[in-house]
Amino acid sequence: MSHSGIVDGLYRMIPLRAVRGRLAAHAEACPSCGRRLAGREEVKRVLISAADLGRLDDIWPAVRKGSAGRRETGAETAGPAPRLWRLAAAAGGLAAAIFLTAFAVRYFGAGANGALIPAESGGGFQLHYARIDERPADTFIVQSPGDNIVLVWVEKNL
Amino acid sequence: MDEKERIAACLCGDGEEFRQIVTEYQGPLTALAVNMLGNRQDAEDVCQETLVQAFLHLDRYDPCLSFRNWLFTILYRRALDLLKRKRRFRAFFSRAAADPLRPAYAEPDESGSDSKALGVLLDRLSPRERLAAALWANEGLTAAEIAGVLGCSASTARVYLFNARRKIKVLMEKGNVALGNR
Ligand SMILES: [Zn+2]
Repeated sequence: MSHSGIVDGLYRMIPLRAVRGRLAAHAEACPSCGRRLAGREEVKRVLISAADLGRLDDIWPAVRKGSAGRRETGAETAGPAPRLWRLAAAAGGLAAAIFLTAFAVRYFGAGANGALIPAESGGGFQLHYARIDERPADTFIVQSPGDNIVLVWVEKNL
Repeated sequence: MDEKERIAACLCGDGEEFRQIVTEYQGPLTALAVNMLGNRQDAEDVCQETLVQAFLHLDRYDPCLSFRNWLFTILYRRALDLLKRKRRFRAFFSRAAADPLRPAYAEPDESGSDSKALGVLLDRLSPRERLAAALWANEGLTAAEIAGVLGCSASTARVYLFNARRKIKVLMEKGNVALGNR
């Protein structure tokens, strides 16, 4: 077995991070082992770079507005909240998510007689904004294909 | 005006100088997030949130350290947080629903990938391995600097980078990832 094959075998057999770190450091510096690793240019070619993104929108107005909003509400200046309070906040966020999900299913899913209400003509459900405790919340929307059911998950951004 | 002067001006003035910082780093931050998250929509959201956080907490930045790497650290934490929340969300619905639902909010391995090659990498490399590879190849960071961004030891960062480079090499040799196809 070749020298780099032994290094490779050791790496696979020993799952200890400290040992693997040493073997990785060796492979970085060793020409023989280095040939088994993708080079910088090769890695670059399979990853996305800033140049691949094309023209980007100017997000400065959104950055400025977002930070001003949080300064006003004090959400970013109050320091770390006590652990219990954070748990209560998380529970509150979860409750809000369940409530909104139930609401969405009820509102979009079924009519008074239990029949499905057709989705509004012209496309899918859209939700433009959701806040919990005066802060933008993370929103996930699940729309099952073929059914007129939309589930909305809104989670507090801790 | 160089970067340090611009940051000092942001701290003293109304922050208008931060616009230049946004323009300069928006591309690299978004690309890094695409490589980690796998879709552009999430990446743009995380990039914007990173810059909001940086703008709000500019006073916490230590001028002795690299400003760019400080931004990368914020981005990494936000992106990791998003991945965790998406996993929780998926777990909740897989328990709640008898029929699997197709998330409209695209998962990395389903759609929205910026390239076929990246789609393959998303399947085979962990988010940390992808980030380590992107920081190394696109941004030229060393293992020690990657460790600073990831908040781990240099040895651990080396392992992430080694795994990423090894897996990419194997994928290329097997033809799963074609070079020059982009
Ligand atoms: Zn060697």
